[in-house]
Amino acid sequence: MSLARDIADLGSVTSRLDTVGAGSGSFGVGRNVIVNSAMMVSQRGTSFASVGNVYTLDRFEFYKQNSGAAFTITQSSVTDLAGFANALKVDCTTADTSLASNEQAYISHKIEGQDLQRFQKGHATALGFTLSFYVKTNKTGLYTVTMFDRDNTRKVNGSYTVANANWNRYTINFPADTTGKFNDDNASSLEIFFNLYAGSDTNTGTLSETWAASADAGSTTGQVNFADNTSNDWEITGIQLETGSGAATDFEHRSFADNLQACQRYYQLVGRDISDATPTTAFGWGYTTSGSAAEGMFRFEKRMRTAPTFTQSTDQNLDFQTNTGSGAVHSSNAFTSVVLSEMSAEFTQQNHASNFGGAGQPYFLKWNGVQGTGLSASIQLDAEL
Amino acid sequence: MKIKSAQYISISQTPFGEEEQKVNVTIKVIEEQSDGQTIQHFIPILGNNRHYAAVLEWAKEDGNEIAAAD
Repeated sequence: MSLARDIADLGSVTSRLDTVGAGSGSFGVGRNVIVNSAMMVSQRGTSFASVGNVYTLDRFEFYKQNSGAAFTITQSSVTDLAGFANALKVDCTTADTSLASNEQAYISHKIEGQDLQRFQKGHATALGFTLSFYVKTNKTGLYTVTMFDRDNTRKVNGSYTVANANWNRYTINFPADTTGKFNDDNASSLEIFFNLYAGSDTNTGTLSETWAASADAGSTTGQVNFADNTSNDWEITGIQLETGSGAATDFEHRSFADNLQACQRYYQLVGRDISDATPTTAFGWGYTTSGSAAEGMFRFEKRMRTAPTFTQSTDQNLDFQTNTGSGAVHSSNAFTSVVLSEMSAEFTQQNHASNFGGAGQPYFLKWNGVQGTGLSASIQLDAEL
Repeated sequence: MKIKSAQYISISQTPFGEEEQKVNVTIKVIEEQSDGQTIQHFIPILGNNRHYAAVLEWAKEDGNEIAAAD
């Protein structure tokens, strides 16, 4: 065939793709606004016992309100869902068979407003929200999902029904909303709640499936009580939120590296991996200001959403390595002060027990290889929403 | 977050043509964990940092105060 015919055919294909994209409202790479959607990244660890109102796997927070039930969350290994190797698993470890009216628990995911402009919320041309995900649970019945617009204090809810204990892909079409624009900034604008149980404050009336001013009643109507038995497990992975009002597109897989970098906008461990019990990574440098004081800095792996909270054990296993003597090593105390930006931390160390050898000594800072595991033995940077 | 103490961290700044100023930029928070261990947080004074909002809530309670910088 001629080159002209090839070009004509290519034009025809492109035209059809454009039509598909316009019809579904969602097409192409980057259509999924969920970060860590396949649960590949879990920098804080892989098991979280007795959780309550904390981030677990990256970008996913467990919220529990006024509840006696207890749960362990893990990054589980998936072997029976082709295409996925990990999930977020909630295991009920203490049951609560009689919920008080104000009890509730859910897994949440929060999204910055600047990443949501494609939904055109608040405009006459607003697009729908198509949420798809894979869930496996032995607690069958109806589950609810809430989308909360924090900028405008509006809410919409949907549901999915679990009929068996297998992995199933569920899709919920949340309607478009011509009221209330998402702010174009780095704050939380849309929050998705995967409800697990809820008392009668919210589990009452008719499920509110159109956008409206936020109200408790009708936001979890019909939700099963996942906490009613310690044998209950619930797993989720492959979460996708895209524009459109029809069928969900195929799940958009991303590499581990892409996922990790996306997660590091919100959370980073400094100079080590949580599973590395004997880190020796060097990550900072500076100079001494006296025999017992020093200043220094380190740059982050990636620019963060905002200047993060810097968290450090008061019993550190860091070394200041100077050129005093022959590669002198000075075990670190916790830092005296830290000043933070989106890109770096600048720290001071006062009243150090060791003698640095006077002012003006350059040094670099490294983990000394006996750190152990766990968050309490780490330096964490947290800019979560 | 079970806060034991909180204190402002300040830095010196000298805007062009002006005197040197001390500016609070961070809050140092000592937190006691359930196992009795303590960890420290350095929390930037920024409205969009969720821990800063939590410390401000803590400071509203009777008896709690963010100490001035050294």
